[in-house]
Amino acid sequence: MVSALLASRRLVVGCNIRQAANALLVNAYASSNAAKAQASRTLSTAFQRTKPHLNIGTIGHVDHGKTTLTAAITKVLAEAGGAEFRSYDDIDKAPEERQRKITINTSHVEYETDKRHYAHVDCPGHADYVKNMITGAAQMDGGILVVSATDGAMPQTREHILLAKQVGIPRLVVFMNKCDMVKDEELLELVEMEVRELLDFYEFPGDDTPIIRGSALAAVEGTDDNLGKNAILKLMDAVDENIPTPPRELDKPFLMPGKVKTGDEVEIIGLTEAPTKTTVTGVEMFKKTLDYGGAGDNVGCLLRTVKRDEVQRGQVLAAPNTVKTYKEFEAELYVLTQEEGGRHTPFLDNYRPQFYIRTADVTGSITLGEGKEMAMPGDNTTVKVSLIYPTVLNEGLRFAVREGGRTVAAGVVAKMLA
Amino acid sequence: MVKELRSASGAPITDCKKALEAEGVDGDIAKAFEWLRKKGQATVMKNNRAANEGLVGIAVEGQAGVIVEVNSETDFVARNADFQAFVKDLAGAILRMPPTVGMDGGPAPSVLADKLDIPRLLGQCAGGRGSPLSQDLKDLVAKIRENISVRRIARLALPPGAKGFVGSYVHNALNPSMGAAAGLVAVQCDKLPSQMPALDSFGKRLAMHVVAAKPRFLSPASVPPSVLEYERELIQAQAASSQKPPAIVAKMTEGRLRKFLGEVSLLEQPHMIEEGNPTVADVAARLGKEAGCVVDVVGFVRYKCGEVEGLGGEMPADRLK
Repeated sequence: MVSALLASRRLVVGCNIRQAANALLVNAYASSNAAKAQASRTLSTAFQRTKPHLNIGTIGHVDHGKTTLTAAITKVLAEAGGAEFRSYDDIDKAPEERQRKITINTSHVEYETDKRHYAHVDCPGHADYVKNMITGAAQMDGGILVVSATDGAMPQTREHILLAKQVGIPRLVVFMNKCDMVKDEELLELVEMEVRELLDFYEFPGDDTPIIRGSALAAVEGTDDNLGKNAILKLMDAVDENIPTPPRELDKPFLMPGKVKTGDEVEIIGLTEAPTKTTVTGVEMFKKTLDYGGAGDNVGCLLRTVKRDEVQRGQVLAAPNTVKTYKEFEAELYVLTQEEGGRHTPFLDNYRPQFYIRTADVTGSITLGEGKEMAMPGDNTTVKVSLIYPTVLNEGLRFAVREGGRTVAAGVVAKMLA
Repeated sequence: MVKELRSASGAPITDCKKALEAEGVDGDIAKAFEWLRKKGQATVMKNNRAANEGLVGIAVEGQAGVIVEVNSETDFVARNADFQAFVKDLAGAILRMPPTVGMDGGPAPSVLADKLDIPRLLGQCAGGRGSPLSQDLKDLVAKIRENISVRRIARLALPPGAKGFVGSYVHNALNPSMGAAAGLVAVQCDKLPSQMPALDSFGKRLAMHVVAAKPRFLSPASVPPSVLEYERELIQAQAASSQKPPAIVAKMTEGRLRKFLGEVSLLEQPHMIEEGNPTVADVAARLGKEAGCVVDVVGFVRYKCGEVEGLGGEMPADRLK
């Protein structure tokens, strides 16, 4: 039960309708993180506090020491028992992994401070990062911008900060690396000033962004504690303090209880013009009665007066008035390459594939972004989708685009339109 | 002072300081700038990190077009304004060169010239600032501090006196003349047709097809004998392993070879952009009928940024002689 609760991202409910022996799959919707948070809150004991988890990334110029910094963080935190030391070479391998058939190119490192648990990714390129974000392989809740004190901000530092802005990273923390190689205080101040100006330009709070001076190499080699180990600890403190925990679950409007129980009013929504209201008359799991269905369970719900042919795969069972359906939305797509099992030809405007959204399988048409005339395998691209049936959507929802029985693209909902 | 020099040069900040303190500079900004230029050129390219990102840029005017690929180490650099300006200058400058200069020799330039002497061209052409492109490239590397290189350049032009045009398409364009991949096609007509818009659209769509379908040759006839021979050996070896009678093996070989030629030749490929995917040759013929002239596709070139040449079952480079 415990593991089932924690592993769940959403409450999936199979509906067992009274008149029918077969369970029909209806997808009950709960805010994914709400379910998770509820679960972890209930499960936490007084002795064991679960630390918030954040995804954090390093961005910066190829020569400024991102990988060395990552190694330094793991080394310093390993001494406090919060990480396993990963050497430069371990991290630098950046293995090509295959997740769900999609090739990703990132190296993941994890560590924890007293306050939080972090998954750390390096961000090798703009396109790589966007692809990872779409497919869900990596994401950043905050970033560490690495700038070498010997060089200062580079022309492409603008592009790094811009990417952070575009993908919605709320705050950055700056690590000014290689400070052991610059003795002149005036230069260090100049670099700092430049970075703050750049941050301001892209609407990050330049003056309030912590800039930590240090030397990742000194930390790895254990030579200068002041610029080395202590600077890394200071950096992680700044990350703990300044990068906000993403607004999860609790501050969101209450969507659906993590539980469904007999007597609950619910609605069946999606694929039809209007939702069907009904009442849960029983909750079962593998034909055994449950007192309630919790996030992560595979349950059947008995629904009052609903006939078997009145529900379809792809519909959502939810507390009344908590979710909405849409037919049009904007999405970010990653078009799979032929090697990843995708198409070998491009697609043009008005391409009409199938959209697999949760359990729904809906036809829709794709309008390419302005100025785009075709999308080729391997592309990241912003599109508009028009579905033929209203479907329950929310921002950040991932889906698959399929055609003739194979997945041709992975997508994430960016914005609902109508 | 340091700040002034830094915003003017974009050079690393410690270098700016050194430059101002260097012997003979004595705080003179102009002299420091020169010092930085020399120093920048000395420091670049010390590492051997791979540069596989960057941009493909094009410049097209009437009957001639140029396509270039400039590589950097990360794709962030492709979004940098200085880098884009260099790509634009480069493609534009090569387009303005007299067609015979620096090209693959011979008085009558062929439709496609892609065996160009890049260092020579960079030294000969001036960019937007008036300095040679080779100098601009060095300055760019010194500023951006990534390996940046001009990987390849090709020029596609109709023979002198011919009628027609060069069509183009840029994929995932950052601006109209550069993006992640691009294609150029040379379309020749026997007389100036009445329906130019239809022809323009044909050129654009054919260039899109070229980018997507990756043709290697124009037509079966233009496949070099060495490539044909290499492919024949491969196919024969496969067919022979089927242990069928020699006559059948020979037939299988010929059949597969025809299929291969159809797949790699632009004119024989099914047009990916046209409804129903007729062959490119058929699309050209149909257009010719409508426009009242003979429409000939006489050349094409396709670059995709960072692609590894020689993949996709192509023969090893040492056999291409």
